[in-house]
Amino acid sequence: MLVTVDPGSPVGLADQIAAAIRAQIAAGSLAAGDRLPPARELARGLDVNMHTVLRAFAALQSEGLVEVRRGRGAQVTESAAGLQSGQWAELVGLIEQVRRCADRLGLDELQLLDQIRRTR
Amino acid sequence: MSTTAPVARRIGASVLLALAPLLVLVCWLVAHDDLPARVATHFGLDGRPDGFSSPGPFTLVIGIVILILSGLGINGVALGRRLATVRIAVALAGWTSWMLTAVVLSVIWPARNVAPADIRQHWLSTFVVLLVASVVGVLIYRILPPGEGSQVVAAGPAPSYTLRPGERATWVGRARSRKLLVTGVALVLVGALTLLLWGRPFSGFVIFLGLVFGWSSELLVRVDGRGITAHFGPIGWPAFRTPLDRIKAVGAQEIEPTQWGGWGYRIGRRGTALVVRRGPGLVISRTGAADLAITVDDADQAAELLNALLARDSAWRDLR
Repeated sequence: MLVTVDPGSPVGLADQIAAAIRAQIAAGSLAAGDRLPPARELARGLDVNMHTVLRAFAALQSEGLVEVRRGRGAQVTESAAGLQSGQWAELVGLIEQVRRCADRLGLDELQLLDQIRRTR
Repeated sequence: MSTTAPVARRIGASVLLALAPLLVLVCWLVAHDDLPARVATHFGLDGRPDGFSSPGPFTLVIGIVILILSGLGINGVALGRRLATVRIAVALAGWTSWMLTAVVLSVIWPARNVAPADIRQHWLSTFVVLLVASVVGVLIYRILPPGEGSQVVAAGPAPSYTLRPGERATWVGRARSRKLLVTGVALVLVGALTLLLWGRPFSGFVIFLGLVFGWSSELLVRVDGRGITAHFGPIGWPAFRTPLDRIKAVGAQEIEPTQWGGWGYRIGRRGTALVVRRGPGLVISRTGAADLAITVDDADQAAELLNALLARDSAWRDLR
């Protein structure tokens, strides 16, 4: 499982980690029943505190995407894919709309990205 | 030590090996006139001797074995193109040779001008002998230069993304063998059962073997900015680490255990391997060390990240 974080981003590291896992569930690379890597390993790999990773896991658990159990780590739930695909499909649809709008305005990709970053 | 030329290292290891039979020879030359007709060669736990033999044949026979072992060791050092394998064998030969030397010295030297029955040897001396042998064995192992892998590793896949300078990325994966786990559990159960029913000490060994099988049944692999780290078992120790700056190339390949010497932690002709099962894995060529093979699922993703990290690393170094 690949996770990338950007320490310079205004988005918190725990949120970035959760987002990366969410994306993989939505994309289907994480299936129901798959076990996530141990929080300790992810933390060492990303050079973050283990509790940061655990916060990400907790957030995903509260969304019903994973289940965290003592001694077994975090596991993707049965309903995860369904929960995710709905939200993900919505996001992809919105992105397509944004791109079409940007094209009409004559913005190229970099200008669009710039505008997205400025909007918070 | 790492800047010493390999030839000097080989000479150093050879000297350590040659010292063993030399010490025995010197000891004999100095001591043999002062030795009684029989010397104490075996001691009980109370320190009193319970076995005797003639010093001449005793020293000669063991001395020949020491000479052969050291000779084999020096032969290995001289050959050593595939030093990854030979290094261990030479260190073991040195260990055994020095252990026997320590035994001979501990028997012959105190026996000068003393009646055989009056000799005492403390039971701790066994540990001293083992300690001496182990120190020399480790020294020889560390002095010998590690061999470089000669196989060209097919690098790939090339990364489909580039890593930005501040970004941190990690990939965590694993390889498991249900067969090894089941075998391990079965051995532990059989061993525990026979231990309880018949109390044979051999059962302890069976339990130990079962634990080793179970431990080796899962391998966890992590790729990050510091390199690649892998460990067997549920806790993170002992871990095998290869830093990024020692990695020349990495490729995702099908790993055939018999080509690397079997399952588990192997050191062999092709290099070092961490093998849990037949199938996909990483093959890494390294500077100053033998090739490394690691069985892991989704190895192509791991290789992609490693190649992206290597690319970023070299770009950074080019800038400086």
